[in-house]
Amino acid sequence: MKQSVRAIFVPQLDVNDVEMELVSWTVEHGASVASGSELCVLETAKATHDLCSEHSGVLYRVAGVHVTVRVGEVIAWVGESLAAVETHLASTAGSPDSEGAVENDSGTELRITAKARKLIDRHGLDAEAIERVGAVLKEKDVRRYLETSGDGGPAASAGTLPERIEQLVDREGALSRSVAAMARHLAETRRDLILATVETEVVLGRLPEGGEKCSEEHLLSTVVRTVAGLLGEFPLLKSFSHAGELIRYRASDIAVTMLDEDHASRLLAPVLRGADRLDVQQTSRRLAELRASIGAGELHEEEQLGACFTITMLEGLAVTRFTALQNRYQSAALAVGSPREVVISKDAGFESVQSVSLTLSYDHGLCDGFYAGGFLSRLEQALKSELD
Amino acid sequence: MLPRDPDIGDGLLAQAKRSGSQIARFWQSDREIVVCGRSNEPDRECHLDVCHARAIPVVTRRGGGGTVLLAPGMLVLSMAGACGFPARPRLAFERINAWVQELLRDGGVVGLTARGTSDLCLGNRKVLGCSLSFSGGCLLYQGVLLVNTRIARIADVLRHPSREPEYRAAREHDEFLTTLTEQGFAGSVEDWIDRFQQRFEARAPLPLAATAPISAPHKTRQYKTRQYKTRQSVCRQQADLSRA
Repeated sequence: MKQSVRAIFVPQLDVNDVEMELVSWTVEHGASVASGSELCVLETAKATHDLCSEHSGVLYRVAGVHVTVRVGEVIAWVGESLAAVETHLASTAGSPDSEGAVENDSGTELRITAKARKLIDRHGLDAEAIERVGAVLKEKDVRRYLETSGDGGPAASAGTLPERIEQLVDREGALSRSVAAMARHLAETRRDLILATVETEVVLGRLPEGGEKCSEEHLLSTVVRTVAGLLGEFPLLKSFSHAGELIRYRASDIAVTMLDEDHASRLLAPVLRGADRLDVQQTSRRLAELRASIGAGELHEEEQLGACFTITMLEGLAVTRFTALQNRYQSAALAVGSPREVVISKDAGFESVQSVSLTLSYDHGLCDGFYAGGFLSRLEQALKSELD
Repeated sequence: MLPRDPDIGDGLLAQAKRSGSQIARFWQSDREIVVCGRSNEPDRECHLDVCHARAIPVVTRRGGGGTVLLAPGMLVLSMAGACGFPARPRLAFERINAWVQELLRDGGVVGLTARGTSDLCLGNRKVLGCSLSFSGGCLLYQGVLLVNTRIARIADVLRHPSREPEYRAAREHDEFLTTLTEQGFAGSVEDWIDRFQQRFEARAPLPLAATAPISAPHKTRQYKTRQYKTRQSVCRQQADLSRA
């Protein structure tokens, strides 16, 4: 009789959900399940979902409890027996979607997948110290270990602090889902690129006596429009690396970071589509429309997706220089400092001028400092002529 | 593992699955009860020593979300029925909460807005929270409307939640929550129970889905819980399979 092994996937409950929590298993590892019977409970956005099996057989659990699982992820297998599932997993170890070949950890009986080994080596972990679900140590076991132990060093029990520190602090509770998700998002982005920065100072022009600075709004619109126009000449800055491949965006859609003051001051990054086809006034109008959408709570999630580059300006704050972090699926970001007055020496005297700092964060794995510096120099020249 | 309270949720959902019809219970607890979400850790979410000292039961519900305190002055909404669509939590929250909002607006409560995943607020203060549980083609909606309860009692028993919506902005219970009475809207819990019952009988919030054929009409049953002695009534709407 042909043995069939079926995967149990995390279902897509809502369109925008990408992950959820596996709250509890209803069936033990190795127990029999019938088609239609409840396997586990998943939780997302204040709703629980009893996931039922579509197949009958023996359950081979892969995911643990109180872990975050992603939509489409395999959390279990159902087969005629545990051995049948293990045979199936071993036979598919070389396929592109699998964990890779399974090997024995040197000098031990522990079996580890290639992806798990890569992660263990990268973080310098002890494979024996990592708790696993199932007979083989997999990548998700290692990732779970890294989440709970923090920096991947020796495992520490969750929540343990040195006593002296414990006496000085108040525990405020777990990070909110959104904050934790943002931290994971940034950590994943960090893993895939090599952050480097180049900076320049753009002199905007002489400050007339009693005159006002260039408004932040006008400066931002000009920067957005100018960057969009230059990206065609510097395509590596509208590209990113993914799984060893260079991916380049076709359009010059620019994300601009904005503060949503009405919703706990969260940062959003709405996207200006086709920013290279707008003039400065159109850019300014479009930015105003996006701000209005945010204020009205009407900014849709799709309006924050798909940008090739991000520009951040901490408007209204006395921040003259900072480093922006790249968003996922982007390799570059530009931080625009607040315009300020500086005094420079000129001829035999001094002159007050407006100046603004630009800091470009880029992926040194894709391009080097000459490339990034070249972009920044062109940007500086273009802005000077536009704003002087 | 915390005990489940079948009369808050499990029993209602099981009844809806068996009957194929929509069932609702609108009620008020006459004592304090801590109800944890499915994935909550009780010692993290509430002051267990206070609960023990005051003999406050700590139970868990089917649905997700955070830990709540049920107490007099709060209207508990429990509705179960066939989904009518695949499990889509956000859509279900929107539809059911829109029904709740409309009913409250018809009763004179103005200014309600939806915030976070599924909260209803007056201004930036929460007045209703809810959770969902999907199982076997049915869903169970459990919500709590703060009518005229004393907010301070919540802070006595519940810790600051381990997870919160962004709009809460780390505010404590007394700054985050409000009641209808505090906002100037009249009506006792009993008044609102009557309104919800009548509206549910006239027009329930969920669409019906064809499940197993219903052979005979079910009779309305009164639920009495020995554990809490809550005042409650059961509403049920006969499924019209000819419309499904």
